Amino acid sequence: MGFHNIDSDAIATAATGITIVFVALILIAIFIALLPKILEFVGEVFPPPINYDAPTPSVKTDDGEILAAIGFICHEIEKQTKAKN
Amino acid sequence: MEILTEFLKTTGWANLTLGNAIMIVIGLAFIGLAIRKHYEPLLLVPIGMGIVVGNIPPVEGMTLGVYDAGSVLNYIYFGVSQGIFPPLIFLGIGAMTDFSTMLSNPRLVLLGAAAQVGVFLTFLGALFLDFSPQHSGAIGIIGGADGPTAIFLSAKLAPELLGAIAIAAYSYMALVPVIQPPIMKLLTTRDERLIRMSPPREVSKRERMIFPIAAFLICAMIAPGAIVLLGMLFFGNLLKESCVTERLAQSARTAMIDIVTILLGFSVGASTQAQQF
Repeated sequence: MGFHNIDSDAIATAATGITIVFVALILIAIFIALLPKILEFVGEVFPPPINYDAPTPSVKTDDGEILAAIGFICHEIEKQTKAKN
Repeated sequence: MEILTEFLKTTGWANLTLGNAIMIVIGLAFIGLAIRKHYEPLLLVPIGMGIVVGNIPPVEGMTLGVYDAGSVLNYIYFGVSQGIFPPLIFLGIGAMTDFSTMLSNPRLVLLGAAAQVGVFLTFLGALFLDFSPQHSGAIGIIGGADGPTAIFLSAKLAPELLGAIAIAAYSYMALVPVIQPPIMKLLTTRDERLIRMSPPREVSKRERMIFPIAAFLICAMIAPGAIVLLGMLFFGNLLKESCVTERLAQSARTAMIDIVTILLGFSVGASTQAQQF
């Protein structure tokens, strides 16, 4: 046990390790910083396809009238059932 | 009477060593810390219970312990000793992680370098304490407070220290919420701690999808030895960000990582038999 165990090889190993990690992190940081510009450039060269599909026509529904009809029928059935009983 | 005497010789009480007793107390302390203080309960409860189970004295002639070939615990521990569990945990972590904040402010990537100070100081500290360079390399990862990586590297560089390193790494991780606040208070003023950070810029879906693939390629080309861990981490993140594999991402970040954490924690705990540890 002692500082004699930490020789030049150990320091070199630690320094190399730190350098490798820093290089990787700096490369990733640079890539992330450039990514929006790269995507912008790619978007200019290969513009996204234009969608020529016709817009879906809005469907007019008669939900209110249908519900009113269903309600009326249910009411009539209930009335008839009560009358029979 | 002779049968009863023979039976009594095989009981845990008859074979309990001081080492086993101390380890059982440590296991119970882990469970207590997890339940009473809420220190990383998802890790400390399985590890603590594993320590208790692993330190019940072995019965001669029966294959029960982690180190007995063919035992159930030995099969579970296979995932630790062969480095299978850590990459699966990384897959789940990748599926959980949202890199948007980092992508909006790339300088934050360099904060990751801070962990390296811990790793390499621990490495040099282990050398100081007379460990071999391989052992020191495995011990150094404890300084990065990264349990799965510490286990993965120990399985490769220092299998005989795996249990001790895993326990040290997870204990250190569990203590981070205790260690960090006083250090943060020491190094910052109250005004600095009250700074409101401006909201990050909006990160596009395409950026989030491209990041895991590009980051994996950058890192793997520099350090191919890490492809298993990096590949699983970024694969998990791609599952999350691709928006077409939500079901797989959901499984990876919930059921799968939970199952692996249970198996890893319990078997690592059980590997701390006083006779071997």
